[in-house]
Amino acid sequence: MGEELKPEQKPEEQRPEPAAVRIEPDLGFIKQVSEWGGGDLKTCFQCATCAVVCPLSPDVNPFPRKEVLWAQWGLRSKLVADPDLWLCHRCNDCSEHCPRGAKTGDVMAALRSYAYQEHATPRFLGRLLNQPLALPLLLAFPALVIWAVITKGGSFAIPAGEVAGLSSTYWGKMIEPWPWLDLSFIAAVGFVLISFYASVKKLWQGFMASGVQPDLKPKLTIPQALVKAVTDILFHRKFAECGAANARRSAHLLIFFGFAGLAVTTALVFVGMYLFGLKTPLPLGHWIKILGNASAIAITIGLVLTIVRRLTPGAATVRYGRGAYQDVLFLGVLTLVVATGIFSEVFRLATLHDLAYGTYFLHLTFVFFLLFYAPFSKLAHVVYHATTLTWAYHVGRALKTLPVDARVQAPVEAAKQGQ
Amino acid sequence: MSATATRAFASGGIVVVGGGIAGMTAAIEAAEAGHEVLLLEQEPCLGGRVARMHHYFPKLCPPTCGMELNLRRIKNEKRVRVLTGARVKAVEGGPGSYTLEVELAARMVNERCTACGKCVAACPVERADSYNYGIGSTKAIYLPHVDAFPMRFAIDPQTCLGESCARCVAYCPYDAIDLRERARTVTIGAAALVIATGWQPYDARRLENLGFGRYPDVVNNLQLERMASLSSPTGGKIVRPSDQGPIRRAAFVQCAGSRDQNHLPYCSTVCCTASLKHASYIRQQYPDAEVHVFYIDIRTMGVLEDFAMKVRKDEKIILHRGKVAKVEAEGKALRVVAEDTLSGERHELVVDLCVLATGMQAQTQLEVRPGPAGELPLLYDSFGFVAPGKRGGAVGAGCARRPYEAAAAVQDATGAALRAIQALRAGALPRGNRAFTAEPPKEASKRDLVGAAAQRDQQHEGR
Repeated sequence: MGEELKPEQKPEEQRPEPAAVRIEPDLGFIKQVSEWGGGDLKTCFQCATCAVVCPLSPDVNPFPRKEVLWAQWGLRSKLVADPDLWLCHRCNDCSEHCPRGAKTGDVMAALRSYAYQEHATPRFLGRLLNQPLALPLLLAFPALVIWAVITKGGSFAIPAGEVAGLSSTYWGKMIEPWPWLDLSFIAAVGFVLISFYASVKKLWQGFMASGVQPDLKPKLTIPQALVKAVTDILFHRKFAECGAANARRSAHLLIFFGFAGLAVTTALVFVGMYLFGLKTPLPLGHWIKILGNASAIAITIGLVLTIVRRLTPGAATVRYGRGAYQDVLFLGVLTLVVATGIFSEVFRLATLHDLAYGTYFLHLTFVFFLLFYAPFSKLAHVVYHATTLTWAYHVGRALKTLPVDARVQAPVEAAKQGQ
Repeated sequence: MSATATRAFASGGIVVVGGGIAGMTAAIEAAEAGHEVLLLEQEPCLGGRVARMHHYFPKLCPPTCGMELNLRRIKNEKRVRVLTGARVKAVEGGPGSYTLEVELAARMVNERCTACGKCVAACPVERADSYNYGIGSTKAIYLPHVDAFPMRFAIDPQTCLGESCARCVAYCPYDAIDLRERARTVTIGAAALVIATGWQPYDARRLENLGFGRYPDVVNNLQLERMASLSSPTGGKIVRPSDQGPIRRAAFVQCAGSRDQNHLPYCSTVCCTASLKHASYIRQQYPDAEVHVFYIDIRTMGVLEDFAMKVRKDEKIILHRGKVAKVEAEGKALRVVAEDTLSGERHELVVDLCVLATGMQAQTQLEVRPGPAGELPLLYDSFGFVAPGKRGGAVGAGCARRPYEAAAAVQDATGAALRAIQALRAGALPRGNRAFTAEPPKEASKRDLVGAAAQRDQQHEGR
């Protein structure tokens, strides 16, 4: 462990006398991670079974053993800057094989919950997102924004008079200053992008200084690395390597592409409306509508699979992990977004206008919630995993750097030198 | 032959279950203190696992030392009677009056056998050699091993073709083979019991990621110990089981099944020293070989620490802190994967032989039948070891009680013999009123034993 504790490897905690090594455990951090489902970190006896059975772990400073050790020691700053938190896909092979019965995958998830909060810009929003008591407050903000937009045009009442089920101004009747709604969402996107930029920059600099990857010489240029990372994510290649929770891959693929499909649908409608005079709601046979509905079905199946697995007791609890608050919140809000979206459409087509308008208001609120809090919630995992994978390809952490023979010979030499 | 239910002992006798080093010790110690003892062993010969070893640690002397001494004492002591092929099926009763249901296996070879071995050539069928832990094979009629006691062949009823074949009968010059013999169940009474049912290696096939049972060159520590013994099928040479090839590099996987909540949650205490001993065997046979030991903690307690330090002086015995969690095929060799937690690097090592230091598990849990008030004659703890009971009378000894190395098991067995004698002398008197009130034990007459067949065995084996 010596090398990780050398002060020169921890620039943020540099000390004048390099001979002295001081460990300053952050006890509050240990307590916090334990509360978020990482309580098993204390049972570890460092046998390193986890680091071997992990299909995604690199050869040099593999995870998750060192993360558990750092967590035991309360080395908060090392963990926050640790790229391996984001190379972990929670396959839970570590949890299944742990001789101490620790749920190592859950410890890693709890550490990520902590990291979302630490990387958040501004940080207080990260804290609030991790705080169940703050949830009403967090929900009130998007509700207020949507309500303000709607009432600006008149009243919050259900639109009076005849509304045709397939009228081209169906939602427009409810929200007359439609551009205002779009503007509020555009503002939210701008805020999210700026926040993510700051977080990603912090993340990248942290990785570089972390010492987790001793050799930082670029192996691929950043664009090359980005392409590799993005294709990995599109095909869920890392998930495919998972052992215990391999079944999660298909569910995650459905959610991922369902979510992406819905985002693309929204963007297409937005562009279509303002540039090509597209009238909404689109007829069911329209290709954009088909894309949207197909995506909604995909994400619904994915969410149902995920929720059922999480709620199944017994062996599945180890295999798929126990959700910490951040996981549950994200999964919950995503489910609400999808459910309200689907029901808005169903009620509209069924000409149940009162229900349709009410549900649509909730839908907009949850979408705003999901979007606006993205950098502080688990949705940020999309950005953090992508960033980390790009970094890992860039510096060679995600590549097998040594040929098998060299890896085989190295230990003998290393061990001889050590003796 | 009918299953005659005979009470072998009157209240004066001690029955020792298990004829390994612990059971033999308990039996002879109790007998030399003046008590009638019946020693039951389920295998066809005495000696258990220690007899199959190559060397004891830390002195690295062969097990014939203690084993031969104990055998000689048993042979000379009239008060010990031995029944081999005797498996205890159930125990009931309580202090002063236990009843054991015992199945006597059909050995099919009687005391006229001189171990000349002519039958072996005649026998047409082979069986996996359980005595050698599956290394090599024997014929269906076999001598358990070269120093077996009793020195007599046995027939494996599972493999033997029976009377339809009977070639061995024709070849035997002494008329020692009776293929009509069948197993039978008898009842044996005892005043005190010593349970020395010993241990078995944890079934390493359950450690799926370590490849035992999948790759022939992944062996357990007992197989390696047996291979090194001069009486083994390889003549003491440690080789790759797959092709009998030499060992250039070997890996030891410590805590294979021990200290693992998914397997054995306890530390088996001997595997660390045993693996270091095994490493020294390999290094002795192959001066150029490298031995890598992967451990969580090296637990060489007490004076064994000195032995460990001596072994570790060898530059080619390399210790890595980190548990092997993956063993895979790499061409004809094996690839073991572990993280060295001291350097933080994951190592993949290609080896000829991978030895799993499998943990010690209680070998047998006897069926215990509760008495009228629901009391059990014998208690087991949650790990399957004999637990100390509230009342004396049934005492655990050696590895039936907890994982021990041979020397400690012997000491424990001596203690168990004393406990059994105490219980015997206290009789069934209530607690607190025992001291100095017991009568000396009644001598059990030899006729009280288990019927004609048992007497025959006893005549042969009791000398």
